[in-house]
Amino acid sequence: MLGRKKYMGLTLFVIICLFLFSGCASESADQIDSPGETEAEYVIISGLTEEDIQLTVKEVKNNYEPVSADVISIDSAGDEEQYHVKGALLHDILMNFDASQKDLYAIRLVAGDGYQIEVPSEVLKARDVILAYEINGEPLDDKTKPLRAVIPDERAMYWVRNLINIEILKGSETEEVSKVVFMETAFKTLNQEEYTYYENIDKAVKIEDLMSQFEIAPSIETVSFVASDGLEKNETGEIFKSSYFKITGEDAPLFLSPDMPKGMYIKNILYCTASDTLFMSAEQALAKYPVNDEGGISLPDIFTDINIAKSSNYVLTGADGYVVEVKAEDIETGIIVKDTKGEYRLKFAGLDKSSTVKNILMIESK
Amino acid sequence: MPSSVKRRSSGKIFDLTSFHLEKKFYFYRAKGLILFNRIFIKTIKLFIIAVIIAVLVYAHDHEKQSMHAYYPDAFIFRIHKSETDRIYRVYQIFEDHKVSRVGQIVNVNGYKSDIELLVIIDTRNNTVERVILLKEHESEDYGEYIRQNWYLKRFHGKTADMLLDIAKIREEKENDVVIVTGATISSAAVVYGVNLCIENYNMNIR
Repeated sequence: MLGRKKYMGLTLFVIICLFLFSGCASESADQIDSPGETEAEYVIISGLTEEDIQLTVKEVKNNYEPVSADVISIDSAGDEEQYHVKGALLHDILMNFDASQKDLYAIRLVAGDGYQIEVPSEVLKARDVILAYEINGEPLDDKTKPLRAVIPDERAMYWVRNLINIEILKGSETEEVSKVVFMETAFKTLNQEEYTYYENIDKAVKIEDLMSQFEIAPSIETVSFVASDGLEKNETGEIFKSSYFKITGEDAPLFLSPDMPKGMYIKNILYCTASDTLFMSAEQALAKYPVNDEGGISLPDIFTDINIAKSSNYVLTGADGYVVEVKAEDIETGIIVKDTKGEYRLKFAGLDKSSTVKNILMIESK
Repeated sequence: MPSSVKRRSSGKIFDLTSFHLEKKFYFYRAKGLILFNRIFIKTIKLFIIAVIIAVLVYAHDHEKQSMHAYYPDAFIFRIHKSETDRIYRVYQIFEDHKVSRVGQIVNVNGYKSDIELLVIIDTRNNTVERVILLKEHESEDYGEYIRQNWYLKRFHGKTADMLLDIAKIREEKENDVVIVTGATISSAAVVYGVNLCIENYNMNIR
């Protein structure tokens, strides 16, 4: 009798367990990272020697002195996260090929998903670049392999996971700016398309159209960006011309593309320089530079910030085709204000009204 | 001694035959009662077990429960024959004795985890009525977008007469769904899951 009771109780218990745990089975089947085949995992270093260098993770682990560090990553929102990383220094690897990290003009870190970022010389001079193969005591997960670039005390945008390529970039002389184009006015002259940006439908323009309108050579190699929050970033001409500027809504003007990883977007662009043309957001400039009593910003403040070519005269052009030429000394009194229509006008304190340009499109050094 | 012999005892006369019969009666009644009790107790036990199993079966069918949350007055009936490897639950939703909707639970691979969706198709006008995210473990920074109502609402009202197309910038065709840049794999996986349900609906259910 007791045996049967036990049997029934046991059966009931098993049935209950089956039901309770079968529901959880699929949830507990998390993937466990395998140690990985370090032989098959490698990163390419290009631009250092005539031929690309293939460096396996095994070589990185065995041939270079490991470094460990407690590092903090800071994302674009300012959120911090602490990691303990282990890896090799890029500096040590480059030394093996008779190169020094400190002497490089820049490097471009490229991830497997297309994300890429240029690390400028000032960062290379001041910081270590760790090619990490362990994070928090664990080998890298599948999404982060083969290596992750870690640059302590720099923004997370440089911490490229799934690093597959390190391009060594050759320096080029910075071209002087001879033309300043005000984005908001220029955008009005271009075809504006609907662009779905998360929950919103905003307007965007193709950068290709902008380049064509202002005669920027399609073969341009590099474009540099400066955002309102101080972020400075270079992008390849190839990526630049296939992308968009989102011109309305959140984070505008925003550099983006549907084929670009989100981490490469540039929010609230203050200006970007392509060849000798600088595209400036008047809206962001009004927020960035000191505003005078008239509610405008001083043109000399802008000129000080950008590398505009010195000239005796400057030609000012409005969206309606109105053109005025002013002398360099008059630039000192130039003010950009936003009028009641939401358009930007450039006026000069010491000059008559005919020098005022409504809906300012462009300033060129002559 | 013959059984019919009457005996005097304490002033009472006993009939031995009836005494034996009575004894037998009580014996069998007691035995019957014991048997009845045993059967009754067993029945009760079986009933309790059945109730527990039924409760567990019902509790186990979270999907049906979640459908009831949206359609509390509807009768929901599972159609096993229309289920596939990916679409592991198919339900018909009856309202006013007629099938008004079909609910399908589909499992697709996301960026980091499996994504489980409940896709409701309104059978009266062949449109996707709603897409509900049941389960996902995508990364916090990328996967969060597919949890947003504004993303899942992009499917609502889409025709079930044709498969959906992925759009990257804007909807240009009736069956376009704009995926979320920055969560491309996860959001495209949702489109894929809905397409599996549309296909199953047209091939095996409709």
